Amino acid sequence: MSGIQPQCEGNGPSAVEASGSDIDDFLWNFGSWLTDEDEYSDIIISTRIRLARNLKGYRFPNRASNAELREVLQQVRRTCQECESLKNGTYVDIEKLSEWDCKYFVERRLASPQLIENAYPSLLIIASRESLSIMVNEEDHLRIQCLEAGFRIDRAWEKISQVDDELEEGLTFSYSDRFGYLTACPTNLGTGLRVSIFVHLPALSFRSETQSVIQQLPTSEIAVRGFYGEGTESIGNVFQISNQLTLGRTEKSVVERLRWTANKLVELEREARARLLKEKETKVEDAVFRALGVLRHARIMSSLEAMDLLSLLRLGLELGMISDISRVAINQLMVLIQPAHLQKIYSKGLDADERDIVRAEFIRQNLWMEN
Amino acid sequence: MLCQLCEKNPATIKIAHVIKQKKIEINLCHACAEAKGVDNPMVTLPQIFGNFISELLGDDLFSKAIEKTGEKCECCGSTWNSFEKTGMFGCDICYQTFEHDLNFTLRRIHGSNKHIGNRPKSQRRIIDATELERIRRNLQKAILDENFERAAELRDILKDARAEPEESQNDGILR
Repeated sequence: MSGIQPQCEGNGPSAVEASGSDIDDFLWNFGSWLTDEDEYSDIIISTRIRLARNLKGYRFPNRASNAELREVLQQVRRTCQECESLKNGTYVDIEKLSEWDCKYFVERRLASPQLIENAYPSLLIIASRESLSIMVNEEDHLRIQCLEAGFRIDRAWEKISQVDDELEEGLTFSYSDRFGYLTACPTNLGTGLRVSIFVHLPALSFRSETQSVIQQLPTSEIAVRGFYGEGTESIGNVFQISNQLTLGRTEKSVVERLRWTANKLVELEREARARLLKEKETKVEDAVFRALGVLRHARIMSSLEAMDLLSLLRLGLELGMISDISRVAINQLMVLIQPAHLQKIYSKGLDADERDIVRAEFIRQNLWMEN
Repeated sequence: MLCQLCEKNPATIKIAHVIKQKKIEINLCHACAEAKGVDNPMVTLPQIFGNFISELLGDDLFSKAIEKTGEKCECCGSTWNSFEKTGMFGCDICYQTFEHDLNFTLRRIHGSNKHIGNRPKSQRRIIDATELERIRRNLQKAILDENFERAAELRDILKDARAEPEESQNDGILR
């Protein structure tokens, strides 16, 4: 079996006026980043590239009036509807979404927490099986994102460059020869480019080597962030590695630096996995099967506990200790067991305690089914 | 010169902050600079300027210095002070209004104050032979100076410039 199947029907109000599908359709129609794999997928879960852009002649969202921001929305919407790359896209009006539906898109990595927290008129455009998305009126007028499975960094760059060029057919971006693309915060100035890889480093964590490896990265150029980006914690040994600097560097050199960093991390994690098998096989096997036991039998489970146990399960799979669950299924479970996804799966209001109960139930159902 | 903070150790690090062409210089020893986090170029802006300089100069003096020189962006009303507090500009005109002050800030954040990446499609331009030659000379100089990062950037520019020869024959297109 390649992935998780629907367990129960979801419904609920929709704020999508869209040319495409309903919000709930996303739930089980996993995007390509949750179904595809490449030769790096044992360690690199996904690769994301985003570009920050602003429209010339409009103040940035932090100073613009709502009327101005609505004009921006209209212009962007009109242009996106003409873009070949964004064909059949879904347009989600963030203002009309419930709090849980907003969180659902954050968990799905299609929206940032900031887009949801801002009280600006804003829009989320999703296309190409979740591979392309655009946040309108986040910190900048446009945050264009390309999300790909594994380490398909070249494909992501190609796709996002294409969207950038297509958008420019209908929009004029704020740009100066000296400073490049102008952004609300100067930390994004220049290329407006942020390349991020989501890496799973369980063996380094098991050997307590993660911190020393992270400290070896050139911190002036590379940032290590948590699960949902800036200011968030690492969960389930998943780290987000991205470039820090956007000015005085070409896009190509940023991509190459991330490629070097990714290769280094993959090499170190693979070495750590080999050493674990050689030196501590029984200990790791014990941890992996204990995790499987708890996941298959527990009646109450928090997100954090589930992520830690699924991380061990993923390690067990990569080390060949278990074979009756796929990597793709574990990746999907890591998304589906988040609070807003559970709300949607069970299509009813749940408090935190109730969610912990249905989370345990949902995992039990899926892990026994996988066997 | 002694460190202006501890007034004990010799000052080895000079921090210059320009507010509307008025230069404020602070001289620190390595230990004080490290303690204040200003030896780390990635320290966030409000921490560097808002807290650190105002602490050194005193809040009143700092506010006065900014008020005196602080220009308002005509388009969005942002001031350098508001930028230091929030880390955000309000519009693209701010980059013209505060261009002088930004030089130092951008160098501190990015180690550079000049964009060398892609241009919007409509502004991609043909690099003429003279400019190509100038980039090549700069590349040679960077290699001789062992400034390999700069050399790599220039090499990329040349590579990009050569990528679309059919549109410009002997010249290159700079994205």
